[in-house]
Amino acid sequence: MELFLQFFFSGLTVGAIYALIALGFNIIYNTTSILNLAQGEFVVLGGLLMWYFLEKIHLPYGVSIILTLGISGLVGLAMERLSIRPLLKTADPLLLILITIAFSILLRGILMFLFGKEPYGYPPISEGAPLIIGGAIIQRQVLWIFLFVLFTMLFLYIFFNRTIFGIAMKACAIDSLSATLLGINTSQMVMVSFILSGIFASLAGVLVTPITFVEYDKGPLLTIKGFTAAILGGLGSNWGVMAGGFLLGILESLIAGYIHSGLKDALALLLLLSMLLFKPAGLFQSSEQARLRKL
Amino acid sequence: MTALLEARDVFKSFGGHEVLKGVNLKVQKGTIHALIGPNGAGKTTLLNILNGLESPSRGKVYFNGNDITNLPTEKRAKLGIARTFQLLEVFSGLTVLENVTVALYAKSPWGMFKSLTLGKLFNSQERGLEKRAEKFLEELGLIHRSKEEAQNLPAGEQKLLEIARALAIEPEILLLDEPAAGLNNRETKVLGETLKNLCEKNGITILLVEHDMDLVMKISHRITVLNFGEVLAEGTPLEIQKNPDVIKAYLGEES
Amino acid sequence: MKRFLHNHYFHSLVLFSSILLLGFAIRDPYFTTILVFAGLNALSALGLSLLMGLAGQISLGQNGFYGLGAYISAILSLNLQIPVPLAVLMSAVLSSSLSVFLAIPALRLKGHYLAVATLGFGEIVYLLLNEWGPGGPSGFGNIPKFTMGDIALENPLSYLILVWAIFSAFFTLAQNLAQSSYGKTLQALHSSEIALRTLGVNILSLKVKIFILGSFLTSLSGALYAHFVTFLSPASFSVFYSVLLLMMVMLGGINTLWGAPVGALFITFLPETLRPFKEYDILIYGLILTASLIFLRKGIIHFLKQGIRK
Repeated sequence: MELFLQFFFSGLTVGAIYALIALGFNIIYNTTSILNLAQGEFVVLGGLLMWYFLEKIHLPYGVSIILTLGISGLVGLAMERLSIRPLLKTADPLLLILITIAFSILLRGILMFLFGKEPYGYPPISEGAPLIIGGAIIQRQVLWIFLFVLFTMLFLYIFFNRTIFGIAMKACAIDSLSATLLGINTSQMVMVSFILSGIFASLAGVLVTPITFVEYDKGPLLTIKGFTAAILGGLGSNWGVMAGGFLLGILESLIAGYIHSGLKDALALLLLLSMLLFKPAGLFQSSEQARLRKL
Repeated sequence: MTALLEARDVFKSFGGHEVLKGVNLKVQKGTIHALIGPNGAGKTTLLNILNGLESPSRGKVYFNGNDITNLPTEKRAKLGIARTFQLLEVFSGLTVLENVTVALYAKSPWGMFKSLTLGKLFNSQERGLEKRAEKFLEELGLIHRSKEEAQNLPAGEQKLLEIARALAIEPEILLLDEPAAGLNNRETKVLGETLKNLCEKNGITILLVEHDMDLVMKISHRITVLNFGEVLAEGTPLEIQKNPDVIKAYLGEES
Repeated sequence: MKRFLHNHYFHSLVLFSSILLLGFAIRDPYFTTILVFAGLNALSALGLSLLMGLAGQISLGQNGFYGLGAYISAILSLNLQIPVPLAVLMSAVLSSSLSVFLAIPALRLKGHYLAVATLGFGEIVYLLLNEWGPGGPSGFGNIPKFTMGDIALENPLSYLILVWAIFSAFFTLAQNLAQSSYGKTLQALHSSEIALRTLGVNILSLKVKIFILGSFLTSLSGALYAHFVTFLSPASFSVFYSVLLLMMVMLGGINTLWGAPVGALFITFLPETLRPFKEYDILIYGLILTASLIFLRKGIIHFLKQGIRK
C-alpha cells in the first residue's frame, strides 16, 4: 500500500506537468485548430530561464518566476507574430504543422546556443523535510506544484467564464466565423492563446526542474506526452485535457514502478496510437461532442 | 414502379438537434427532381445521406430497389450515384482536364504498378483518358479552360467542372447541390439546357438542390419542398407553385 | 530530339552521370562518402516527397522506417548469414509492410493528428532499438559490407555508383507515377478526399499503397546505410532524422520530386560547409527551416526557375 501510494503521488506530480502542457495544446487548438508541436520546448524554456534568473544572477524566487513566465509569454507572442501569422492566411494545414515544427527546432537551437547541452537544476521553492502521508514520502515541491495547478485552474475558470475577453475566446473556439461577424477580433484571440499557452508550458518547466532537471533536448518527448494527455482527455475541453494529464502521469508511474521503467515512454506512445485509432475524441466526450467542436 | 433512388423515413440528428424528421423521397428514373426549401431545411444533409457521406440516425436508403443504407460512398459511386458540392470540392493543384481524367481513371483503374513502370509516356490508356475527358469538358463549355488550374476558375465554372467530373464516372443519377450558385443569368440558362439535355438525351436522372426558382420551375419534372426537416409538399412545378403551404412557408408565417 | 531531351528519363540520367562525374573528378574518399550519404538521404527523402508532396500525407515517423530498414538488414546478414543484397531487399519489404500501421490511422486522421501519430511511431521504434536492439544504446558493429557475387563494394566510389544508380532508378519510376493518372489521383487526395470518394475511389487502398511505397524507399535507404557504415546505433535513427528529411523535401521544393535530390544534396553538404559552427547545427537547421517556410515556401527549385524566367 505504501509503495502504491508512493507511485500514485509521483504519478500525480508528473501528471500535473503533463496537464499544464496539454492545457497549452488545448488553448491554441481551440482558437486556431493548430496543434503547436513546439509546446515541449516552452517547458524547457521555462526551466532554463528560471535557472538563469535564480542561479546565475541570483534574483529572488518570486521575481524569477514572474520574469520567466513573462519572457515565455513574449516568446509565445513572437512565435505567433513571426511564424504563425504570416502562414495563417494560406490555411494549408501542412504548412501550419511544419511551421510549428520549424519553430520548435529553432527554439531548441537557441536554447542550446545559450545554455549548452548540460542538464540544469535549482533548489525547490521551499526547502525542508519531506512530508510523509500514509507511509509515502512527498517532497515539498510536489505540494507547490499542486498549489500552482490549482491556481491555474481557478484562473482558467475565472478567465473563461467571468471576463469578456475569455468569453469571446470561447465564442471563437465554437465558431470563429460567427465570432468575427459579431465584431470579435479573432486575430487578437489567436495571439492571446499563444501567449497563454507559452506561459502554462513554461510554468510546467519552472515547477518540475527542481525534481527532474532540464536540458535543451527534452522538448520533443514532452510534446508527445502533453499531446497524449490532451488526446486521452479529449481535445476541446480544458478540464478534459487536464484530467488526461493526471491520468497519463499516474498510469506511467504505476507501469514504471510495478513493471519496468523502460516501458513508461513506450506505454505513453502506445496509448497515444491506440487512442488516435479507436477513440480520437478522448475518454470523456462522445465523438458527437467532439465533432461539434470541429474535431 | 420502384424509384431509382429512395429515402424512406429518414431521420438525422446532430447532438440532439433533429435536422431531418422522417423524410420520404422517391426519385423516378429519367426525371429531373428538384429539392427546394429555405436554408437549414436539411437539403444538403439529405444529399449526404443519399450518397453515403453521412449515415441516417434512422431510416433506409434504396437504389434500384436495393437497400444501400450501409454502403460506403465509394461503393455507391460504383453503382452509379455521382454528386457535386455546394461548397466547392474541385481538385486544386490539378488542371481542369486532369480533374476529369482522375474521375475517368477512378472508373477503370489500372493500378500503381503499371503507373510506376509505364508512367504517362508509354501508356496508351493515358492518352485515351485525355481524349474522353475533353468530350466532357466540351459538353459543359469548359474546353477553353482545360489547361488552367482548377482553383483559379471563377466559382460558377468550378461548379460546372464538378458536373463534368461527376459525369465522367457515367452515373445513373447525378446529385447536384446548388449548381447555379455563382452563375449569371445567361450561364444559368445554359446550365438549364445542359441539364435538360443530359436527362433527355443521355438518360441521366438528376436530383437537384437549388435556390434559383426560375431554373427549378423550368427544368424539373417533380419538386419536393423540405421545411425544417420535413417534407412540406411534393408535386409538379405547377402544383407546387399553387400549394398554399409552400406559399406560406416561403413568404413567412404572418401572411 | 526535343522530346528526347525534355523527359524525365533523360533528366535522371543527367543527374546520375553528373554525380558520378563529380565523384570521379574529385576522387577524395571523404568527399565521396558525403556524396554517398547525400544519395541515401535523397532516397529516403524521395519516399517522403511521394507521401507528403504528392499525396499530402505528412509523416514524421520516417526515422522509424530508416532504423528498421537498417537494423533488420544488418541482423539478417550478420546473424542469419543471408547474402547482403537479399538481406537489403528483405529488410525493405519487411520494414515497409509495417507501414500499414501508419496507413490505417492515416485513414481516419488528418493534418496534425497524423503528424503526431507518425511522430509517435518513429519514437516507438527509436525506444525499441534502444531497449532491445543489439548493443542497446551503444549499438553494434561488424555488419558485412555490400557484396554482389564476388565483387565487394569496398571503396566509397563503388558504393557511390550503387546508391545513386538505385536512387536514379526509383527517381525515374517515381516521376512516372507522379505524371500518371494514379499520381493525379494521389494529388487529388491532398485536395479533397470527399470528392474522391464520390468518384468511387477507395481511399484506404490508396493510402495504404502510398504509405508502403514511401516507407519502402526510406527503409531501403536505411538498409543500404547499414552495409555502408557497418556500425549501427540508435542515435542515428532519432526523430531528428525525420526532421532532416522534412527539411530536405521542403527546402528542395514540396511540389516537385526534384526537391528530394536537390534538398538532400544541400542539407547533407551543409554541415560540411558549416564545420566551424558544428556545435550550433540545430540552431542553423532551425533558422533554415523556419526561413524557408516563410520566405521560400515553394522551395529552391521554384525559386531558381523564377530567377531564370526573370
